[in-house]
Amino acid sequence: MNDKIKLVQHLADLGMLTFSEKEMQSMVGDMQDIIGLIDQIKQADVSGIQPDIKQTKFEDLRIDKARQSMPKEDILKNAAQTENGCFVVPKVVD
Amino acid sequence: MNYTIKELRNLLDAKKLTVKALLDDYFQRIEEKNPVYNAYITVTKEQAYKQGQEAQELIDKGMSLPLTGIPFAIKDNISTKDVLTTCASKILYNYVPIFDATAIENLKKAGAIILGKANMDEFAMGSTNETSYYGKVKNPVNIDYVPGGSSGGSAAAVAGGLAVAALGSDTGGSIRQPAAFCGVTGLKPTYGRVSRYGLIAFASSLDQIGPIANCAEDCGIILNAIAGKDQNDMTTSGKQVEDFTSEIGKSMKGKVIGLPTEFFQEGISCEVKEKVLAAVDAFKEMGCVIKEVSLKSLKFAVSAYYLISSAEASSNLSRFDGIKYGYRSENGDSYIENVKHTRDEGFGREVKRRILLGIYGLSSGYYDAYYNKAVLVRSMIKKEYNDIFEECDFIISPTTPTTALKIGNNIDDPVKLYMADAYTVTTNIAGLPAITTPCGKDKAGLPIGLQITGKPFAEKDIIAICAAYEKYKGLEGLRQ
Repeated sequence: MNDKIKLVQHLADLGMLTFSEKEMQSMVGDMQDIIGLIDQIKQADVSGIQPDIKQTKFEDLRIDKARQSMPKEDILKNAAQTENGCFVVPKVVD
Repeated sequence: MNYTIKELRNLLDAKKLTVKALLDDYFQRIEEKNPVYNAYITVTKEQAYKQGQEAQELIDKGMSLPLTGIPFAIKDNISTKDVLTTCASKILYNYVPIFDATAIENLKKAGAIILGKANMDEFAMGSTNETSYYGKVKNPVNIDYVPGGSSGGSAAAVAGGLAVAALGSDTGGSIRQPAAFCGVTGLKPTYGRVSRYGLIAFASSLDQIGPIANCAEDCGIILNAIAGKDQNDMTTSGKQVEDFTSEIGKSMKGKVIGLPTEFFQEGISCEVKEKVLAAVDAFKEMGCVIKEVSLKSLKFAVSAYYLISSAEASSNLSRFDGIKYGYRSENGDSYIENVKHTRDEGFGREVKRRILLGIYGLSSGYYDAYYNKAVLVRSMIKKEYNDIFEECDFIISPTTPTTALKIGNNIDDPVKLYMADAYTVTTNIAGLPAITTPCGKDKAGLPIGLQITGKPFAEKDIIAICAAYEKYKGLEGLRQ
């Protein structure tokens, strides 16, 4: 496995994605082009620039008071599989 | 066909038109034209007529509000209670929210009527509306061309007379670029002006809901209804919600307009440049003072935008696992394998690219060179805007470097498409408000957008100057 495929495979694993061999080939090509574009940022001179920690301003928080949550049966309506008021997931441990 | 909200308000309140007749008219047109434009993924006829009856009762009692009975298209990434909300993705093909987004709650309170959910690029990732799982949207101006994206369905609905106005969302230009391509007006409010609660998240530090309509005043009327502090979105601003139309009609004499030279250099089409500069002359005639300014970091904006937005998207989209809602694959025996197959089968190619890019920029060994650097470039861009606004009231630029592309032309070249976002992404990066309105057409008859950017929370000012330009040009003249 060449390094580029290895890298995209690693990213795909982290992103919980899986690709067929053919898809992987074209994704490697796309990623190479996109990384070429974002590499331009390396030329930016950011000496003396401080990160703007206030970029997301968290204004005054809401009152710390319990609120009625959404009804469980409504929430479960959108799930592919439920049982006894719970989401059903495939086997997690062997 | 393309009524303004005010025109309809007058007709409805004067009883020259009923809400039912208005809805009949719009649904007939949707039936005829939507199979061509593909602007709507879901049409909510039954619900609309029910809302229409309530609106008519209010009108009859003389209790109408500015949006009572006004038909809207809603981008399909904005949650609507009991109405399918797909984000134009297979992974949410069956998702029916159990709550309304705050913006929708506010629109409903204001009496607006929802005609349906508008098509878009999948998860708002794209600028041509070709990444939708539900098919491409076509530009009503010329159906061989893309409507832009990601709010392409919203813009096409308004331009094609399939809605009076629409809500879109703008993460890197997704309201302004399609509005420009379709020849309508689109407003991206200041970050924090409109609640993002119920907007299915793409990039939380950049996303903002806003209106697409037939004129700047309409955008102001809609913003009046949807803006404001929301306890469900702690990034909403506590700033007083003003009447965003209150400055319309005031003289623009003496207003200082900055023209950033970088927006008029390589990459811009001659026709776009010519029409935008002609608009600048119109502002001069209105008594505005034009000043050349510089946004030196523009050349790094696309890289910074794609790093930040994709990093946030890779995190936001991790919630789509097929367990709690949406599509679930039948493949994969273990939890991990099942989730991987669900995401592989459920997400389109562009969404996967962005997830991979986001993870790449955040991963160990690359974080400082990419994500961290992008955050610093963001600070730089913000500072450059602050400096410009020390001496200018507004910034004027083209909304896009070219007019709409032909369908299918660039879909396989992500880099080319990403580069075209340069003119819109900086305002999202800096959190500023910006509005686009048509300023002419190219030789092929495709609309050209003029972008006006303002100081933080100066929506009423950019709406006023945009309305002044629309008045100067004549609305009809702009849209012909």
